[in-house]
Amino acid sequence: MTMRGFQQAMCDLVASPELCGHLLQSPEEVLSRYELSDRDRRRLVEVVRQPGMVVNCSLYRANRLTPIYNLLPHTCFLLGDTLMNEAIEFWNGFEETLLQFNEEVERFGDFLRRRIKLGIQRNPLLPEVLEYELAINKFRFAPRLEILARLESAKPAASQSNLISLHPLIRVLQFSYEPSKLLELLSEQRSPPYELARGEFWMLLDGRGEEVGTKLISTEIGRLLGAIEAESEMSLGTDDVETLIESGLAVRSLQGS
Amino acid sequence: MLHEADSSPPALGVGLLYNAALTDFVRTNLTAFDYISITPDLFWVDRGPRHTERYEELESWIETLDWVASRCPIVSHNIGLSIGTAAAFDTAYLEQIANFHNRYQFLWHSDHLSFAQVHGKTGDLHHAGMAVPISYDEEMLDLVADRVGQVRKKIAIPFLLENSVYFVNIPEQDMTEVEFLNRLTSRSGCRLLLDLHNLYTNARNHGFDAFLFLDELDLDSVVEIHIAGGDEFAGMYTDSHAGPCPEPVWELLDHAISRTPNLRGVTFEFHFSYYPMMKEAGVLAQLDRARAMWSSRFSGN
Repeated sequence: MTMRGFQQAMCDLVASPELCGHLLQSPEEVLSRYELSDRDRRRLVEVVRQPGMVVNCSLYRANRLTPIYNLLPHTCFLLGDTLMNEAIEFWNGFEETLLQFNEEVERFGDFLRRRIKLGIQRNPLLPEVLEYELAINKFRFAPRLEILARLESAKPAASQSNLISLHPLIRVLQFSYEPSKLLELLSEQRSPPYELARGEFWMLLDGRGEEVGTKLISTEIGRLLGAIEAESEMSLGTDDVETLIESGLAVRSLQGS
Repeated sequence: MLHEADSSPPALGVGLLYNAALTDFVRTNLTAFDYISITPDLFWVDRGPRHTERYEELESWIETLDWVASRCPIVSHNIGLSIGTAAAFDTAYLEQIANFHNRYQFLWHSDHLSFAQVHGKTGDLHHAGMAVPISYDEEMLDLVADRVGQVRKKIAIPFLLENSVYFVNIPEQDMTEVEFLNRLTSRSGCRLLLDLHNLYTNARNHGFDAFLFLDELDLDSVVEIHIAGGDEFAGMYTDSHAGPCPEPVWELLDHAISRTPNLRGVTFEFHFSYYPMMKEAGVLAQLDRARAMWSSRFSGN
């Protein structure tokens, strides 16, 4: 039974126009990688010659680009002409996808973080916009009601604790460019460079409601919440703990939990 | 004639395939459609077969589904069965569909006559990146018929398979697509989801007569019809679900609707990104036109 080998070869070809070209040039070399019948070999050589194979390869790319483009629109806009090359590089290292939107986007986000760190992507706006969109998506896919119910049931046991952590559906992000204006320009798809105020800006992302809310917060609050987020848990004075708990931004943690 | 061990569903009328852009639409236009078709796969995250808790439901989507399910009939249009995958059959996915059916009482369920999962270098199944059409061979017929049997045994409602779009012609196939579909339905007891836009796409790209295809197809096995739009991409016409149905699809529906005695519903589908173009009125217009044809089926016009 060679159906399995034929299907593997078809899928590899659909995922790689380069492999299609290679098959046209050196059929024996490519086809020897798979367990195939003579008929399978004749079929594969024939289908890569058909114009429809270009459509298949393009559809593969379109289907894999869809989650990235839909869920990281501003990041994609900033990547501009480099988007396709970055996506292809990403797919080369992540061929065996489940094509689940959140996984595709998170892994592409990790890939881009590495590219930024390596200096391959140098747009100064990109790191902050990427982190913003990844954080929004994290909340989009979070089991919100389940998290809220879990917190509610844990309340009595943690009621005496002065140890707090950031609410699991709250995040703070630091920007070095004025974020409201930046996101507005990106929404309008205006190409950089932008004239943006520089400084220390903090944005609060609130995933507790049905829609993810965002608002700018003061540097003082931003730093405090940022520190709590970075530490995972923080011990504060009783009044500060009460204020943060009442605001819903933080939750009590069980001692030693 | 339907010869299911499972019960025959009622004739529903005109339905709509739910997508992310339709959340408000379905709530405000509940009388515009007779049923909703859902793709269950969009209502959960699949973490993959290696995870013990493989499926995680998406709460906001489930909320809408619960709302709709309590108000109108629901059918299921799955995309994850990958019935043509040679190497393995994902029985955990089938179990998940069965769980969803137990919860929402679908009147029928369907998937695609294609494969979307394949074994990779690691030995695990992964997504092929698109639904790849099967080859119409005896070996494939045996494989699909056996899996249809497993599906029908697990979920006792009619199970439909949808005719696929293909952009390449696989040479030296044992039979034609029509022969394959006729033999599959006759042998396995699965029914057909006849996607007229897929048929139109194939006929247009590969230069055959779609009406002749319909005349050769065993239309008794058709339970649901899909209608949709498409557009040109990379030099061919594709099933992109790009907005309203083109005129030839309406002509095919007009031809098919009076010849499908077991038809239970006509479903309009479109990609959510085209909603801003179609808007509410555009979707309603498609549903109205389909309804007029559905009604003509009973009036003999």
